[in-house]
Amino acid sequence: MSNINSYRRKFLIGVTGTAAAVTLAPGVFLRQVQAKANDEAVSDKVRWGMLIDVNKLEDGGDACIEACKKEHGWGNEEHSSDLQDAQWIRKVKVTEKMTGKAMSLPVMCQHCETAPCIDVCPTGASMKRPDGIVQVNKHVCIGCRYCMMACPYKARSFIHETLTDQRPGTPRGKGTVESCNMCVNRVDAGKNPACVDAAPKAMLFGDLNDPESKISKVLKKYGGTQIRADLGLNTGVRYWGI
Amino acid sequence: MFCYLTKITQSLLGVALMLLLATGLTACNSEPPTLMKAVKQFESDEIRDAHVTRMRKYHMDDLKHKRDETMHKGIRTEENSLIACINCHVPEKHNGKVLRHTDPEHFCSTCHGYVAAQLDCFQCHVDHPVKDTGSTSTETSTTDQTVYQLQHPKFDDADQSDKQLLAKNKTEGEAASE
Amino acid sequence: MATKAVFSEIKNSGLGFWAVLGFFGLLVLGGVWAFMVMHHGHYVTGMDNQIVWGMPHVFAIFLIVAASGAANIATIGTVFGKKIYQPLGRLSAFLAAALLVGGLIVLLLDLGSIGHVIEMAKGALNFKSIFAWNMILYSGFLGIIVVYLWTMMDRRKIAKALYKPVGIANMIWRFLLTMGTGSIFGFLVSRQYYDAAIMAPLFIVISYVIGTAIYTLVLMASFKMTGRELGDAVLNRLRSTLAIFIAAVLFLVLARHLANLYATEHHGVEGYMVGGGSGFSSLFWYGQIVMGSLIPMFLIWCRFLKNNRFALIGAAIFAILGGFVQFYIILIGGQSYPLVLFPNAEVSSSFGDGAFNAYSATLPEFMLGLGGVGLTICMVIIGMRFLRLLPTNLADEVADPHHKAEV
Repeated sequence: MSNINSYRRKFLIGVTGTAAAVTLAPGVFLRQVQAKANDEAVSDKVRWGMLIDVNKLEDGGDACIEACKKEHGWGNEEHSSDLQDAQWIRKVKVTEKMTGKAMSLPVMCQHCETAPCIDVCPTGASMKRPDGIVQVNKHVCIGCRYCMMACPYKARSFIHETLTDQRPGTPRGKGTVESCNMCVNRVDAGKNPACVDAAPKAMLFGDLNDPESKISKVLKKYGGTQIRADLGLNTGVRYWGI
Repeated sequence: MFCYLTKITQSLLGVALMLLLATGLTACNSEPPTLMKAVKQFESDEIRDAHVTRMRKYHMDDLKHKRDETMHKGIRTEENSLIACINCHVPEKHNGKVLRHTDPEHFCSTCHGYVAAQLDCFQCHVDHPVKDTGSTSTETSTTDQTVYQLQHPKFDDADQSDKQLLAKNKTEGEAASE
Repeated sequence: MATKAVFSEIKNSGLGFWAVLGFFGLLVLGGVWAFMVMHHGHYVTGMDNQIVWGMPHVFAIFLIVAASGAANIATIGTVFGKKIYQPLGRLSAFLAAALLVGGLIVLLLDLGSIGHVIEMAKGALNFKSIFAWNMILYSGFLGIIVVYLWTMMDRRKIAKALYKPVGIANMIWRFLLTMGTGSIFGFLVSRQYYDAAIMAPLFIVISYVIGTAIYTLVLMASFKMTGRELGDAVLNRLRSTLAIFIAAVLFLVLARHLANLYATEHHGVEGYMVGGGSGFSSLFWYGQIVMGSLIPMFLIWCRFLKNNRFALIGAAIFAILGGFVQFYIILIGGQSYPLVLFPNAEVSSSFGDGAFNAYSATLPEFMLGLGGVGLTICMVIIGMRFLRLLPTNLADEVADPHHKAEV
């Protein structure tokens, strides 16, 4: 069964890929899907990464935030105050003091290669999959929030109340920490993260380890900025225009 | 110090012994409660019985192993999917409302409530089937009639008394659902 | 000359015993109530996604660091051979264990998902995390204290022979433990107020201050309430060690802030914490420096307050409060200052970027912390009741090895 599915996927992507390369305007990219089979383990041959072109985001990432909320079901915790509500991705407005340049960009978990959150987690709940996706294993998370202290991007949220009716692909619960998991349930099914699909003109998702992938080629040609690059974390999320 | 503790220890031991006796007596009744009939049924009784006995004995170990496979290795087969378990064992609606793990008739809560072992899963995982808008990973839907072939049916695992109990449960369940 | 110390349990008679035990027992019950309330979720607290560690953690870190310092009294007697401290060792070790347990309980009960700790106890620890190391250091410390108490209380030769080696092990373990606690903050590269190697030794000297102060108060209170004699010789030793440790804390605090003020990167956070940019500055100067350090030193070293017991009590109380304020500033202040993702820019978002995060603790948080304090004192009282922790007599003639009998 899995053989048939992966054959179907490759066929479809082959068709759409060639069509896309021909018909879509420059700046619009498609992910080259190398969807893995359900029973196949992830490996470090792949490193998932994202590129966000801030100049092309007209709304500063609002659509991305809405898509993420819809996909994973966060943000409407009823008992929690505004600052206690979970926020996986947020829009940050930046105004440079000297030049006055203003911009808005979405900030989420940057999926660092050497993530501080993973270093400090006492139980190993904060983990990195071999394919580079950083996530919280809530089965072992004790809710100590040390990873929240350690994250340089303040990407993590703590759940302050009992939750019900979670989205099936995104288990989340009281007393554990969570953050953007690069839509790992969608990525494993061969799809893009929800935010990338919400802003296809400005965001690109792909395999950083594959030199032939669109994201690798584009990053090689134009580079990509990390937020807090001086920390040397080698983030998987890169930006243009910050 | 020790002479004081001995008196306290003695009375504590006595109380503990009494409690143990009392609880021991209540545990004499080893009939498990009747579980809600699953939404989807196996092709044959043999496969179902093997599944039930395996689950009875190993479901916690299985769950822990499978969750690690999914978390660390990204393995998302039907066997490893809690959503698949839920889709089979929890109806979409029960008596007109959504069945949650806080209701005693919920499949998992029937036994867990009986033995007073707290269910941790549904702190995070959703406890009933959700009709997806197509954005999650598993491809099961509640209208899917595929029956799952177990990879490791071990008939030898099934105890004779277990099998009899299963047969009894099955007839009772059928009677209840009529 | 000092006679050999005699120890005895305290009697559980009299209103005093039951009143004190009852009061701190009520605090414990308050802590239990707070835990039950917090079981619904942390939305009942003032902690949020910006200030993730709040009042319970201030209490917990305070108690844990104090535990390390309280055991120092025993160390001075054992490792450095100062005979006047040796009778004080039993209470010191037991108080250290009680403080540690109180602090750990508060920390444990604040966890979001306590049940998963059982999985962790089965061996799933990430050893790059200082938290994981701390779990081992804290539990090991309790084990060493038990053995240490045994070497002090058992009269057999084997116990006496192990007295000094276990005392040295205790001292080394304490150093590691307190450095580990300081490193919780010292290892955080992301926050402006942390990420400083000095946090580890700073916590060690703070531990000496609050540990000695708490020990002094417990000793004076228990001797007063059980009618035992406590001479000036012992108190003056405790007095001067307290003042010296306070000076050491002042020194490291000065070193830290002066060094920070040099680098442009730290100007923002230093201005916020110390330079009058927030309520934390007032807390720092009036609470930590004046009340917590300068006033106690004055009360101790002022010549006309020599041998004055009230001055010592006052100094100890102010030192304890000052230590508490210092932890509040480190913990809450450090989280209140925003993370700097975009330097030299004004930043805002719906998630507190660029803003100074506010925090006000709710009642359950206070009660949880106070419950830990209550548990500690209850353990000390019960320990003194059933174990021979307190010397019967610490008058000068008995305790002071250099005492010259009056003719």
